[in-house]
Amino acid sequence: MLPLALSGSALLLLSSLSLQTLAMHQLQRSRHRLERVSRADAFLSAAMQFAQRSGAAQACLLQWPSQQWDQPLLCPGADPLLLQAGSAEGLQWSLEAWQPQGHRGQLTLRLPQRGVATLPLAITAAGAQLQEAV
Amino acid sequence: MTLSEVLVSAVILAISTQTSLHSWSRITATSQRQTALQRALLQADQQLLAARRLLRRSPAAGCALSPEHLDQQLAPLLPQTPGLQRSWQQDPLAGGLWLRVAVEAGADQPPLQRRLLLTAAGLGLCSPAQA
Repeated sequence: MLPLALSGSALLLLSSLSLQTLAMHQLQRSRHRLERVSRADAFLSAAMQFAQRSGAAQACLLQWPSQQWDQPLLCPGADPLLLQAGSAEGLQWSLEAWQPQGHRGQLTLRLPQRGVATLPLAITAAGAQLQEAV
Repeated sequence: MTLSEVLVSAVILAISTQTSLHSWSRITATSQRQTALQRALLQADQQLLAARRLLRRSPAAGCALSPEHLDQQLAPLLPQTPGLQRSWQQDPLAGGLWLRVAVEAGADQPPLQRRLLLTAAGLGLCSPAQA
């Protein structure tokens, strides 16, 4: 009788423990996904501000890699500082690199505590714009 | 089989059954939280993605985004379902609008919140003359 009781108890406890671990793991995965999408939202928002500032005189700078933006005769009238850092509602960003490739460009941004990410942007006469959301 | 053996077995089974039942109730609660969070994530995703796509295809939005205009455009296409709140906030410094989406993520849980800055230039709504 006692061995049977011990086996039954062990089976009950082990099954509930493994199911609990599985449920916790799934909840943790959803929380990680929330962190990932929040991070993506922050980078997308920063890129939106970059695009907004890339119009008018700054549009000229988009044709050149950001390493060359400090050359005075590159784009007279353009203000590279507008594209090198920004902030909005607690969201701070700084430009790591801008690399144009024809009508597209790779925007690499750094956000404090969120690291670095690269986003593809399209270059138009009106400035940069984000690629279509899929 | 002695009486003491029966008693000990009964006690062991009772304790393990009670522990298991307690564990099951926690599993149920965790699963419900996970399901609610997953549903909230999906709803928020749909709202933000649909808003971006609709605005990008809406030349009437123009280079200057206004919250009232956007709400008029989005309301019929993206109805606010129960448990979901969508709001716009103008940010002159950022040159755009913050779209905030809050979705209920289960009882006793804080609502899931996401925010996204949308700018007319970023959405491709500005012409060279307006930029």
